[in-house]
Amino acid sequence: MATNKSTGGSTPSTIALDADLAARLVAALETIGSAIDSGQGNGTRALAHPTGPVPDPVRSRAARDYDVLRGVLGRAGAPHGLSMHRDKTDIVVDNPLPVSATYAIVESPGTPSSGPVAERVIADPTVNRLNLDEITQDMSISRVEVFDCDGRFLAFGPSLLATIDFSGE
Amino acid sequence: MYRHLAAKFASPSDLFLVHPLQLSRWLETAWAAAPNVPVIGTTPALAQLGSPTVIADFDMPEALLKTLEPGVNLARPGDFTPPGRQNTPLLWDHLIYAYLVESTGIYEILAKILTRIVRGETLGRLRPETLQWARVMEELLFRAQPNFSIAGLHSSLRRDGDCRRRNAYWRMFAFDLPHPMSASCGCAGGASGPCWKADVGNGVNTAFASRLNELFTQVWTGFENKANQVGANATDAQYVGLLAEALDDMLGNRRQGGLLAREELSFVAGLSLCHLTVEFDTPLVQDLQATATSPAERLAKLGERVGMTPAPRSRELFELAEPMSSLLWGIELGLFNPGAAPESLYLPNVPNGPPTTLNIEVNRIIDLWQSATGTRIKTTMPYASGVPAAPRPPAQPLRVPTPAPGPPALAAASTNGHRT
Repeated sequence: MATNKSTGGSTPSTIALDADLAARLVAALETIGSAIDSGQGNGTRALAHPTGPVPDPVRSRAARDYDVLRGVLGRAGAPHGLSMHRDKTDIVVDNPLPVSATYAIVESPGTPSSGPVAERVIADPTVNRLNLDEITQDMSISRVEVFDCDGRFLAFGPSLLATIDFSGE
Repeated sequence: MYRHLAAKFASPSDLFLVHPLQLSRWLETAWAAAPNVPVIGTTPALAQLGSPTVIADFDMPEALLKTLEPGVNLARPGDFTPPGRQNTPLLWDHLIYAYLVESTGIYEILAKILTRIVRGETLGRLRPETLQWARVMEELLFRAQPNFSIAGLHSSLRRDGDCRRRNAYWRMFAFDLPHPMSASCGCAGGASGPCWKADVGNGVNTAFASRLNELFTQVWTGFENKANQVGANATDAQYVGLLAEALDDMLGNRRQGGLLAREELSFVAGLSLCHLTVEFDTPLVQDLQATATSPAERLAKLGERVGMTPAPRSRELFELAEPMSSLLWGIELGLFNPGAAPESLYLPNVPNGPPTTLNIEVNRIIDLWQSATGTRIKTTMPYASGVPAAPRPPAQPLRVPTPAPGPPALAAASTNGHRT
């Protein structure tokens, strides 16, 4: 009889987990964790999608890519392109941000050491500036997407070059 | 291309009030700004043009480019505005846009109208705005573009614009325009075949139409089965992906090294001016009493004024041009290749959720494509095993609905844009 079973009492349990099972458990916990989104500002935690099924991330990305494509082609009703430029670590939006803009997701291919980086930042239409923390001046920016509070995709920015070249070339 | 700029004016037809040199320079800056397009999908930036360096290879050095900025003034089209910082992402339409718009016969009809305007007074009294339209169109479409400009394709080696466009359509899609070549080209036939097919060698995508039809058929199978949870489901997302990849490779082969990029920009820009002319009740449309509710009907009425008839399926062709352009760029960006998200063409983001813009556009493209080409897509054979049964009857007619029979020009269209 196997003895890797808790005997109760104050003795610590001696459960031996199969490595594959452990990996699956960790993956399952990560999946659950990804559905939890920390609240903005007040530190509360809420389910990102409290009702209904979770959107397929790959399909959602493809659909958003297609929206950007329609935007760069100037389609009516598509998210529209904005002019932007970099100022030190920040991004300055040259056109007015949509009035309902709430947040932006900024993506960068990063550096060889960091790998790709995506950062969610506040998009305040009264300021027209996106403050970046994780994306630094030596990282180029591949995409800037602006959303409203309901997650509706409103506008996007250009790809922007790094403002500091640390590569030594 | 120019429609994108026109949408920024209070009235889109104000674009025709801008000086043609400014519009020509705007095209030059639009080319140079293409690297601002954000990364879409996993394809490296600008790889869909055949070479990530094609823009830099052919653009004007920045200092030289700034010696004559377009300075288009959106509030006062006749004025010049010192340009501010502008790097708004903008990409030109896919070549299929130019092909579909030109297939309506619009180029020939507008050429005839312009000829009548510049040679005499047979079209009656025209307003100054219409004459400005005529000047812009003549300068940008019917004469060689400025030397060394990005759209400057005219040379002693390829003199005729019609030939140049037909050559590009043939190489990219193995499509000919449905109407005959105008008489302006001296080589429109003969024993060796039309000039636009000469010297292309094997560089023609002869399988484009069949692959595209197959893709649409498979995507439609996906639409039919998207909520199917109990019966046999013939949908195969990976096969859809393989078809998309085949089209991606096929079109990419024609673009290697950046081939056809300048031609594509120039042709879609030119045809977008034609499209813009009939997209609204522009001054020309009003002066020629051709006001209507759709581009196809305006074109038919304009054609009537000069004794010409547009293509019978102009309505579908106009409506197809934009979404087909987006879809083919999406395919060339690898958005639907295996390993990406081929099922996003027909499945919403959430199971049984609302359709995405992509789903809606693809369904619409299939409707319009089968109506415009007469190739039935929305019909399937039963997939139950056993003896092959008769094909299931289609769920909808081949052609999309159109308004009640309108002007005779639209109905009797056998000449298909050809001069009568």
